[in-house]
Amino acid sequence: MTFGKKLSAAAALLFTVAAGPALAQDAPLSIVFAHHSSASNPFWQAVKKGFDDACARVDASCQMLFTQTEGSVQEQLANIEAGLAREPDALFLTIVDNAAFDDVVQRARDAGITVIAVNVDDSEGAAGNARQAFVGQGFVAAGYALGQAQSANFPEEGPIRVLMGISAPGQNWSEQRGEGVIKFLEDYRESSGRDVEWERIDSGTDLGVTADRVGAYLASHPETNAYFDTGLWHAGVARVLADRGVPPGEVLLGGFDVVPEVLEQMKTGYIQAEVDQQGYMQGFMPVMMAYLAKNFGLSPADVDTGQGIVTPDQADDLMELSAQGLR
Amino acid sequence: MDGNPTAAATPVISAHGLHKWYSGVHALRGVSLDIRQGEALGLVGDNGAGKSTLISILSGLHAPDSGEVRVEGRPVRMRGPRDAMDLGIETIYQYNSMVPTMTIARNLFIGREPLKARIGRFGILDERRMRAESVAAIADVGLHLRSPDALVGELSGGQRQGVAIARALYFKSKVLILDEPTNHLSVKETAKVIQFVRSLSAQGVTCIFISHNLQHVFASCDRIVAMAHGEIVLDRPAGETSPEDIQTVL
Amino acid sequence: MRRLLKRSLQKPELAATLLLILLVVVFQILSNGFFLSEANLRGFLGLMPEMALVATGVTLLMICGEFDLSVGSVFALMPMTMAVLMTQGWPFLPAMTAGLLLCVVIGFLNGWLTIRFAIPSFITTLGMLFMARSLTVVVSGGFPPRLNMEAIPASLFVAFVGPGSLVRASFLWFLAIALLMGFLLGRTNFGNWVRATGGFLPAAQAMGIPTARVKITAFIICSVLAGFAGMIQVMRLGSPLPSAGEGLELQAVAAAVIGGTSLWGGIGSILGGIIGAVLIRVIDNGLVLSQVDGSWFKFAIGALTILAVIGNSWLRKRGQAMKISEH
Repeated sequence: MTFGKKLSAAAALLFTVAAGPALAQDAPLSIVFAHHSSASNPFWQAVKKGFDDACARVDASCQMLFTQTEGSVQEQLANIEAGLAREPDALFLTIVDNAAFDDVVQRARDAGITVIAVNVDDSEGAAGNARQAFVGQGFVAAGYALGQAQSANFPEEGPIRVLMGISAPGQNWSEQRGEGVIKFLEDYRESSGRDVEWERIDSGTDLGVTADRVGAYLASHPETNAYFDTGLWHAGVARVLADRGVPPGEVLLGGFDVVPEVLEQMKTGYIQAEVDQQGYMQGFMPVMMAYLAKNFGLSPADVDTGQGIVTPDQADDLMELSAQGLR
Repeated sequence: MDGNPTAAATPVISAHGLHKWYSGVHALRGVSLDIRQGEALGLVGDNGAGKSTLISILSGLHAPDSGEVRVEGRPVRMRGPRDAMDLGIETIYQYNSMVPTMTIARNLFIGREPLKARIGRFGILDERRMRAESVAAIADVGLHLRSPDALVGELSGGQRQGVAIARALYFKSKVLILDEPTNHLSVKETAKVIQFVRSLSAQGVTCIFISHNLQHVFASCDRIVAMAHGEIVLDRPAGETSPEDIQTVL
Repeated sequence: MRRLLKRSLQKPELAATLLLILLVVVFQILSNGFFLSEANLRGFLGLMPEMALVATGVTLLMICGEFDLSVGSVFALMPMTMAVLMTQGWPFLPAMTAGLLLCVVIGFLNGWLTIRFAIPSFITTLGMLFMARSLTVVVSGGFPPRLNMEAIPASLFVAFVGPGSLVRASFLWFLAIALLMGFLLGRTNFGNWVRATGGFLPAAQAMGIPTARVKITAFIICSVLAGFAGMIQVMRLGSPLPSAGEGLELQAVAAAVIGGTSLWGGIGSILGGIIGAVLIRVIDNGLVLSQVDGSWFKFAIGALTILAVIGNSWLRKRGQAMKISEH
């Protein structure tokens, strides 16, 4: 490059950098986050905290839209349409259905809005939807990791009987997590040659109901070695086992999301492995990417918030953070 | 007070200058009426004449917008049907004052249940007494029903009216208001009701019989009062008038 | 004798009981004898008293002619309030009292708004359902507080009592309250007023019954029972989640209707509502033990519930049609 061109390039860069913050101050970044869950789900409160904290840091105007009915795709779509009407700079959404969101996302993209999928992605990924990036955990991969982590605790000899609790049959997040666990079990059976069998039940999304159903199953199938939940409701099952006088570890328990009750049961020894979706990160990261996209034209990139498995030795440290909603 | 029931003393119930508006309609325009003890008064008029409004005020269901009601000479302010019942005014409403899903015994004592033990206004029902006394009360009006535990909904229209009358008598009413009591009744049942009203009069119970059926009214009452457009347009002893006269006035 | 049979068949509780017995037999066979085993019964008697308590309150209110759809939210709000107060240092008894008082206020509001503005209670309590659920999230700050089990006489409410540790204290509480409610409805003048108010409001009013007060009292009882039941569940499972009790209102109404309570008021009994609740739990529990596939589970519940109500209705019609000669 000639000296003149270097100078102009440098000047341009300097101008952009200097103007960047000024531009940001002119029109605050506005973001709409519409997901499929209701406000009473503790996991999403963690996401919201990450979202709100990040927005505060970049002075963005942010709104998170919850549904009234847990998992309702129609309500979520309606929220998205309402959110788009205000012409935000960025839209974050959970793609809990492979087809329902394709149109609205395409329209948003056509209007120049940055679209990032969070927490749940189209199962065909970028090929199935016009979203620019996915921030979250691969559900199938997470399920697989959970199964793998728990298998370290399987009894050394004898048949292995597993109960897979699908919390919400038909919903992407639950089915995929279950699929991941089962995939691992299949691979494990093949590679180890052991007698492994499993069953799927509709375990429910209520602490009381899950505890009742799984408790009944476990009582009638005392040979069950492990129970996997696609959510956090196995914490109730831990209680039921304790009440029945079953010692911790006799029936392995594992699931998703780290809430204080789960950590409590990890300390007592009833729960051995738990997947941490790192909800805070799922709320925080997309905001930063939207900021970079708006101000510097940088394209959002996929972020895997981790196949982080939490084990009982970490429970104490996490307790404090969990209570604040940071983990 | 001497016990002579036919003395032309204070009327047992009287209305003075009653006015009432319903949704902008002047339903009662200064109605005044004296009713003597033991009278069987027939109240007639077309729909919208104000009969139901007048009755609802006398039975305590509604309060007049102006004017007053007196019972045995004393002005009273009835804040609800309960007050009226306490004063001895019982009303048998057109669409039944019975709850069809409850038994005869429970209906008879509804709102005034006899209690075995009580705290304030609440207490444990004295069911034995309720059953026994319902049977007696019903027999007193000439009805023979198999069991006080039968649901009122299973009874015929006439039987239900009979139970309603039995109830009013049981609680020793001074004034019995019957709002269209012969509607939907068979010929036989109608005759029974008419005969009943006459006998009540003989017992010194004052009756106000409301009906649009002039034959029934004339058959049971000794004084006819006709209303039209919220006012009283005729007030004569039954013997001095006829259904035809009434028709012309209405 | 025949007359006795005719009368009995028409009593809705009997029809529901016969169905219950039939289902128990069927599930006993399908689960290879496990359904009635001690282990399963012990588990069954965990959730059942909590649900049945809610059903009791809802039944009473329905007999009075009104609905309460907010019971599920109150079920979560009361223990959440209690838990939050306790984290602020309140001792158990005042915290519990405050929670129950909150239920009284909610019940009062439900009733007062319905009567004062002459709107259907269906709508009032539907609105309250959302408001109370939201309050639960607000009160918890989004993150469920830890319940300090040391400070709570949990054993008073949920410990196992009696021989064989089959029955919990919660069952006894439930029994006592149910008997009290049944007595209230059947043997007191208040109960007579409730039936009259629900059976034919104009007649009740004309006979001087303070129907507004009767209804409001019924609303209050309903909310208090729901809150109390929620407290018991939280003591049993340890965690006051904001999502507890979601969907409970529909189950409670279903229980009342299965047990013979009329949707139009005036007809029904506490016993019927309880049998209905037991029936619903039996269906759920039995299907888990019969190893119905997870994805078909909800279908089975729905189908059996419909069958239960049809069976109920059919038995009653048979009873009505029985010919008994008059003498």
